[in-house]
Amino acid sequence: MIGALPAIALAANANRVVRGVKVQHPCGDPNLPDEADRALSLRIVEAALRALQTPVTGPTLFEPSDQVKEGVYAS
Amino acid sequence: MDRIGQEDLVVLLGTPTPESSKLYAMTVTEGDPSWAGALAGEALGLPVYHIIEPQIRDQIDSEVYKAEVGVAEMVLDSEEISATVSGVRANNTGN
Amino acid sequence: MYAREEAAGKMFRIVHYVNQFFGGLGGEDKAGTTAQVREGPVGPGRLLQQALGDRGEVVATVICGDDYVAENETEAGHAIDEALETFKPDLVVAGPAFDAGRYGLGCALMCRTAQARGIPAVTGMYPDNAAVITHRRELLAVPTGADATEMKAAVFAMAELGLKLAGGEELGPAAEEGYLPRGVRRLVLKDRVGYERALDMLLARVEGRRFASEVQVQQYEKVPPAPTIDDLSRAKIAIVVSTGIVPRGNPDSMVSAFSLESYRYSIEGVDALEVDDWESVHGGFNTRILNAQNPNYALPLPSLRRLEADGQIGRIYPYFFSTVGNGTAVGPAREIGRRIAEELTDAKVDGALEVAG
Repeated sequence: MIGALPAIALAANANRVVRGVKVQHPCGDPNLPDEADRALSLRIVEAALRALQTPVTGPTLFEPSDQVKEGVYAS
Repeated sequence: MDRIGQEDLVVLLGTPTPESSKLYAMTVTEGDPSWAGALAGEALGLPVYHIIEPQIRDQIDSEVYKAEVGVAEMVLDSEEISATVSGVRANNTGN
Repeated sequence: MYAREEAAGKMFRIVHYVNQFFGGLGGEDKAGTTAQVREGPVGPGRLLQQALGDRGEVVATVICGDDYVAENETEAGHAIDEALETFKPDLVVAGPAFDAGRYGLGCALMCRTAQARGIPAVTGMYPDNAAVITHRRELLAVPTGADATEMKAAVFAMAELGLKLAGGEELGPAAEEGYLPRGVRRLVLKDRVGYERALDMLLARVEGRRFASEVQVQQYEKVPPAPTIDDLSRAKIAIVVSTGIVPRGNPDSMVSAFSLESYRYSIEGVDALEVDDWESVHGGFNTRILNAQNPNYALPLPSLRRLEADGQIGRIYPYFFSTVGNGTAVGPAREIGRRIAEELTDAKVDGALEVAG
């Protein structure tokens, strides 16, 4: 799950938790220019998909990476 | 209140739930029960009704009522709201 | 004896914590307010002063925006610490937060910061408040309802418990003293041996009488993590949100809080949620950004569609499931999840992405 308050989710035993941006906008940031905002959303979702492919033994926090994966998303 | 006085003043609520109705009804009678705002600790003792209560509804032209309130009334918990607001009035009799 | 007499005559200094709303600064629009300190009581602090009478004085009030304190714990913690240094209270009282999660976290921070300085602290919140989930052991909290109309009862209970603490009194067990159990076990001698007490309970159960278990299970269910998805590029991924995203007009009348069910909506052929077609009905935070600018912040459809188009994921399930996480209790949440999981399992979905609200 993607959430802006990961501490709560982890304490409630959610196993795969991705840090979101803010409660009012978990999957992006309206203060960023459009392209950076879309890239941020992509990184958050990628972290979630990465979590689905990562074995975990208990509640684990996944941070969105700093960079969009190179070379894959040339448009 | 200081400007216009309390004579002939009635508060009409259009709040959507029993909880919010109770909060606002209590605020204008015994004072803001949550103590969050300006009416904290201020017992105004005003008469308060909800628009869906029979005493109010029956005084409004039925066409106008149907047009303005009718749809909302279908999704509101009217009985509960009515009971809640009249309950607050009962607790503040003599005001 | 001597210490008791001294405590009896003393008027305790109290610092109170409230959020931006109860501090009279505004609603969700002011949730980012950084720590403010006011002398004397504010809002419900005035009721607290009433409850204390001449046994205590609310010398100052700390006000923090709910978002600010939930997202900037370190910075807020420093500001709180400074205020405590300035006012040197004998007791800290926080809230009551009722069911408000971010407010609860703020109260928890206030209490923890005070306790780290050796200052006793008491708060009040609804037992399902998110802060109880994260800080159960560290908080001394009076249980409250979910509704701020009960403010008076809550504040008076907090005042009494707080005065006991400030007076150096030892507290008895949670059920007796009226606070939320913290999961702390103390050794106590009972007047009857264990097997006799167990037999009493068994008889009570058999006869249909009420009894209190001596061991309370207070944990959030541990769920074994699902195995990883082997091949994401062939995986079917479903979206579940508790951010309250619904079609404009909320055709199914989804509630804004205390949800008991979820609804599913089709996103077949939809690449991005348009602000004209969708909205959030979540009642626990300011949905202005979602509803006037971009609902995709609460359901990242464009990113998922892009990954689907690029072949990074196989397919997005054509329906998403929506509910609100505002005050939604654990029991109903579990049931909502179970029903969704049932449908997803039947549809052979491989993984789900949830956005929390």
